[in-house]
Amino acid sequence: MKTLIKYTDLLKENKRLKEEVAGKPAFNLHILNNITVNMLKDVLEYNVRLIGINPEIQVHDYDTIVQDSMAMGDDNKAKVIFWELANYMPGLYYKADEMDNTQLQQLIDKVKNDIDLVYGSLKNSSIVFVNTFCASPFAEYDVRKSNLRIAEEVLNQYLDQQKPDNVFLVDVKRVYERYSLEACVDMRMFNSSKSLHTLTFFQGYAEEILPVLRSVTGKAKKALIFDCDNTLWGGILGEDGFEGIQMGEDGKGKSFHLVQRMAVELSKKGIIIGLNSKNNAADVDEVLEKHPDMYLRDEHIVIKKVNWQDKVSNLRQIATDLNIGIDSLVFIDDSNFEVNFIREQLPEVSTFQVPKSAHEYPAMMKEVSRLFYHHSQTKEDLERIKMYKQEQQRESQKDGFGNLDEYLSSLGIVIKIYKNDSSLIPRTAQMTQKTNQFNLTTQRYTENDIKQFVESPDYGVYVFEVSDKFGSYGITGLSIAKTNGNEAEFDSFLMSCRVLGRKIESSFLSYIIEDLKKNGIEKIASKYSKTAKNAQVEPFYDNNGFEVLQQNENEKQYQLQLDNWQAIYPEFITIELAGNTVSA
Amino acid sequence: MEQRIKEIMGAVFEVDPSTVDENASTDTIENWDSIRHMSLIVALEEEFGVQFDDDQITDMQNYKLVVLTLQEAQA
Repeated sequence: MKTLIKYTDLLKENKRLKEEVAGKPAFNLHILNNITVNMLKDVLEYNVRLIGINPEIQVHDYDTIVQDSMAMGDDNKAKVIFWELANYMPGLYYKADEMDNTQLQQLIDKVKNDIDLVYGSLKNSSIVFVNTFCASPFAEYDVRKSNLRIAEEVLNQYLDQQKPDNVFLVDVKRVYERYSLEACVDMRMFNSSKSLHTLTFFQGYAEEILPVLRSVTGKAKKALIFDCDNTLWGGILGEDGFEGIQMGEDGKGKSFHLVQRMAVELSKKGIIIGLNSKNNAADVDEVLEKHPDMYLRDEHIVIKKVNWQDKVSNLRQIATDLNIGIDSLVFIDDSNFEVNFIREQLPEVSTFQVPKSAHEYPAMMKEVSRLFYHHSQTKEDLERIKMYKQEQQRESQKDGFGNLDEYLSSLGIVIKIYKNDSSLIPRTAQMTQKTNQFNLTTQRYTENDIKQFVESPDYGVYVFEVSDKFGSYGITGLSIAKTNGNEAEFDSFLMSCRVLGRKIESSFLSYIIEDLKKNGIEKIASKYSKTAKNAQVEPFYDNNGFEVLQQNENEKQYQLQLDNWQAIYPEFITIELAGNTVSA
Repeated sequence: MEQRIKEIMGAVFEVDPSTVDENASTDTIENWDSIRHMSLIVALEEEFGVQFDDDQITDMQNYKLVVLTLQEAQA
């Protein structure tokens, strides 16, 4: 069991972290409850601030879950719902067992009806955390299964069966299991204040939902980088030799084998696996290629920095080569020295140390995997590893051409544009959540938000897919335009850094402007909002003919008059419009 | 002990610990409501390794009573 932060320390840290995240856009979260959960607010604020998000958390009035849900119909903010079965009606925790079968059935039907109302009302929320019902705090001394337990089982099935896509069920029993019921429940204030849970419980609860919060706020990690010796295998390659290192399914290397298997699973889900190791590159390559006990192979590994440079420089280089933020990296190493060095120099990287007892290593790896959790998986996730590999081939071919346009012409680039295509909603939402660098406004949207844009006559959602002779890059960029009469505004414009440097961005922009002009738009407004990561796109609109209207340190506002505007496309790019489109 | 109590009350009620004096009570500290009272109990119990009973929890409505009750619980 982990040591949890003390409450006083948490409150003090909370105050400090609040300043740290103060300037960032707010992440709104509403807590609905029929039980007192005010400490949960402190705990969630703390955990969310730790991952660099600025939370705005509101605890709603006691016991108004259904009413509040219905009142918040169109609201898209995240919700946490604490619905305690034992307190579903006053004194239910002792009255339940006085009920006969008919009365119990009536109770169950009423709760089901309320679940329908809440699920239905909150369908526009970006994410809704709903706890599974759990009678355990009140069922400790049962001999025969109590009515509360029976209701729990039936209703949990119902919660799961009826669950819309935006609901994440939180299994509170897992928290009770991990920290013990005794440590999670405090009955002293249940009767007087309707408070049931301890600080420990709320901290355990936060652990349960944090991977999902990371994912919906764009803070999920992207790459997992391993050291080699005593990290991917037991022993030291340079000393113990090819024959001496251990990573077999049977024997001393078992834990390393399990860790390798988990790494392969992550790579199948689109997580980048890499190496950062002080070794001779040829020796490590030989192990990857020929060692009979290796499970993780060259095909799973996207990037290798096997050399004698310091590991901090290597990690920086990895982030640059992959075009991802340094805070998207997770690093695992066995050495105290390396781990401390990286934690000190690169605190943004999540660094883990291989445990001294090998049998604890797979469990740690499971904890690491949680940082990569993606709430919705898309085709691009699954294809990503192949695409990163193709990118490396392209990079190596680039050296043969002196002139960039010449090289680009040789690629045969095709941009395929989709407009208001509802099948692309998950990927569209995901891009708004994950793209940090080439992103003009860094608006984060959920699938529900995008769905509303796609269906609205006032919005145009343009998404593009890029391919060339090496293969497809998948759906890699988007723009959302809001129209109002003969004026339009770019709400979002972003693309993946994978497709940068090919003049794709201006071609895509030209296409959209042309399309808007065809639909009677005469003037377009746009803006650049500065973040810690998007400095590279600051001149984007300037370079594409927009006129600056207003600017300050954090924002530039532009406009473009369309009467004399002409689209310009580079010769080497082909633009296609996908079928299956709806005109604006 | 009194300094540690003031530190805790400062953190829980979001006030400067030096402003928590002998006369501090639910009437003088704005954030000291029934919700934050529970937070205070949790923080005190954790910090001093004690457990209050139901009556003690309701009794501690001002600084002096917090000190007294804590001494009682530690005895």
